[in-house]
Amino acid sequence: MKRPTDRIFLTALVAAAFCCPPAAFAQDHVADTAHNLSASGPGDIRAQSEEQICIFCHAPLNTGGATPLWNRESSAASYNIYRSSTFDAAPGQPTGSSKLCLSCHDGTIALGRVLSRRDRIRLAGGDFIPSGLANLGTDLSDDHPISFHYTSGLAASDRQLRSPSSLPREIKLDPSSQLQCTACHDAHRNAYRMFLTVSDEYGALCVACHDMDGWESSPHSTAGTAVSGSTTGEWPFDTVAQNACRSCHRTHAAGGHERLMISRNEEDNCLSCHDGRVARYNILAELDKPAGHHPRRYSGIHDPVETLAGSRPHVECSDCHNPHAVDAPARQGYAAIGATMQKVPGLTSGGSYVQEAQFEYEVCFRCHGDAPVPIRRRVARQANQPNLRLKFTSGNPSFHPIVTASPSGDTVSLDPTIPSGTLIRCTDCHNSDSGPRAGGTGPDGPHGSTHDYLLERRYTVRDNTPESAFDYALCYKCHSRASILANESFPTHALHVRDFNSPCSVCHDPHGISTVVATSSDHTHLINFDPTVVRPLDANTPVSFRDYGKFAGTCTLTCHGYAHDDTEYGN
Amino acid sequence: MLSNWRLTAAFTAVLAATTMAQDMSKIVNTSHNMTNLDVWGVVIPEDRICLPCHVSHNARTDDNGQAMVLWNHAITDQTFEMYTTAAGNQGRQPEGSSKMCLSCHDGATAIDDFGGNTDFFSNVKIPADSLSNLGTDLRDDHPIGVEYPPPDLTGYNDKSTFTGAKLITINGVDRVECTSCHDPHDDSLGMFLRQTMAGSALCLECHNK
Repeated sequence: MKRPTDRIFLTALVAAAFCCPPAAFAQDHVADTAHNLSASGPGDIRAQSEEQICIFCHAPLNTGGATPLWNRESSAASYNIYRSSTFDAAPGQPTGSSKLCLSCHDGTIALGRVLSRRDRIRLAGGDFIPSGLANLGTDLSDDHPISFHYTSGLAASDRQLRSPSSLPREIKLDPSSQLQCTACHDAHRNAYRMFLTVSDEYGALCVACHDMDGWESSPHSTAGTAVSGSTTGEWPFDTVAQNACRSCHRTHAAGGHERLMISRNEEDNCLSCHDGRVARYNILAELDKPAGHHPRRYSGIHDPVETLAGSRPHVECSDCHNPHAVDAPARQGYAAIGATMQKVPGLTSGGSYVQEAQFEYEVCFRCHGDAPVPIRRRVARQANQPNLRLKFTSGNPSFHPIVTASPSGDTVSLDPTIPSGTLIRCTDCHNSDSGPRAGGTGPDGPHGSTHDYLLERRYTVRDNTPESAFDYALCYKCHSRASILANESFPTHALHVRDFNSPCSVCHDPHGISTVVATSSDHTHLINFDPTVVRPLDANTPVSFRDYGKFAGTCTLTCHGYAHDDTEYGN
Repeated sequence: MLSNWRLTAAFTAVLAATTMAQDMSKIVNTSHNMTNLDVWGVVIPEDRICLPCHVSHNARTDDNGQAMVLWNHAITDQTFEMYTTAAGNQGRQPEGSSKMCLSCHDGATAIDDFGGNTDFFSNVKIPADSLSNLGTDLRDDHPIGVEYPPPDLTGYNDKSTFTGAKLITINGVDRVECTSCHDPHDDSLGMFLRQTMAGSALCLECHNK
């Protein structure tokens, strides 16, 4: 069901486009336009001597051509047709009036070759349409699709198309309800550049058909930010809001054919603004950091309709962001999911795929959950579980409070300013090292970091590291260093960490321990040893930790050459 | 200001044009003057210019018994295939003055099949390869017999702005017929057109493109 605001928004846009057409482009009569190919034409492409305007396309008598008195033969070309995994109509070769347009614009038929004349009308600047945007060629795979039936059924199955019954009167389908070139272009009138029937300023032309959820309120449709700062863009208008769809899409000669993106490489469409020149934050600089989500390493893999297990590992901006629905990032405070991650798919803590993630971790679980991508230099674990979704499940022996709050409420070392029961997000640990949560001025979010594992702060996992606030900065963000070294939660913390230079990660698995893979160990307190450091006591005795209640337990293992044989701590 | 020699040159040019070129606004000088015309190898031995089309007495009436410009020529009995609009509507069969034009230009009705021509009838028709022969397939010809402006379309100029084109009013309805674009008695613009085709001016009289 259409929200009432949709129609108001659309009407306002179309009205805006019509009340204020850019005066410089108002060519209301064909004689004033580049389609006047007669010798009196205003463009560079015009006849040497022919005085008639209409004759290049129409003749009143005996052409043998079809309605509308078409004076041109149809191109015999076989066209490469637009295809996309998100395009349901799947049309064939061009039909109807589009064939008429292509009889010049595919570049295969001389402009002056008309049915009503025995001899070709000679043109001053070359007989064929010159190369450039107006020459579509016979490869239409980089052009907006045409010659498909735009029906209410198509709109319903697509979900991001408006019903054809809501089209403004300026946008016409052909008599068989097919969308042709003439839906967007009026060959006789060039009121808004490019012979458009409705101005594309503020996306008015596009949103007449396309109904992108969340678009109306997204800064991508509303921001008055000037785009002049970018050196790579080629935008017709001055601001982000004016360019709207044109900020990222090209209806013809698109660099990225599928979904008609300006650039072939997915991320380039984003980074042409998000490089510090137009958008507030410089994401490009983040991507130069050693750890990160690196979209520049992948191209042509991501697909909006990909399945979790069916896709090769990759990351693109649109895996985590919906460019039609993003909102500006909030400056501070906890939100279940950030404003920049509105309306992106996710995998719930229960393992269900959802179109719109409600929690940030659901977005992370798409790649780090049930179909986990490999992680470079991942710390080995006694109980190994690469599926992070299972590591945060509420019934587990222990977990960081991403999905549910910690059940114990007795995390002794927790910074007293953090209330018991507080939920955290993946991005509270995995984040930019220069973002606001790290005290910097860079963008929030796990785009890139100088720290391993894309961590916001330094977290050393190398054995024999002398304890310091510097090396375990990430853990000490929430867990009081003073409390740890004072042995408030574990009587030999200082001994292990400071005196024997053991990193936190040797004993603790920061995400959680899944019951699915739990061995005889109890795995409370995030205990899940790193087996490259912690060895079995002997061949018949597996590494184990036993929890005997608050502040009490035993370990059976060998570490740093010291045997722990059911070694007790606590009382 | 024009110099004397330029004025003289201009005057001479006008004089030359007047004396040398025929006044094509007069039917006597046009191809519609068929008197004693050698039409494709057959001479029509008739020196009354108007007679092939008009007669002053006992003229034909149309199917409804109505007078039709003192018409003297046989009326075509052909059935025509008409232009189909973009909306898929096929036009009605030719009527009125358009049917008179088609009584030669259908290529099926003899040019010399007119009243009073009993002695020399030779059944000569416009040849198939002539541009003037429209045939009976009018699907690729500008629609005729259509209401103006079209009730279901926009983009047409008001008739008050016409300077050459002419609408034919039949039963109170303005229509486009052959004579909207053509004046069979005046060929000063070529093709018996009512307006120049330079800049496609004739087309743009109606079509607001």
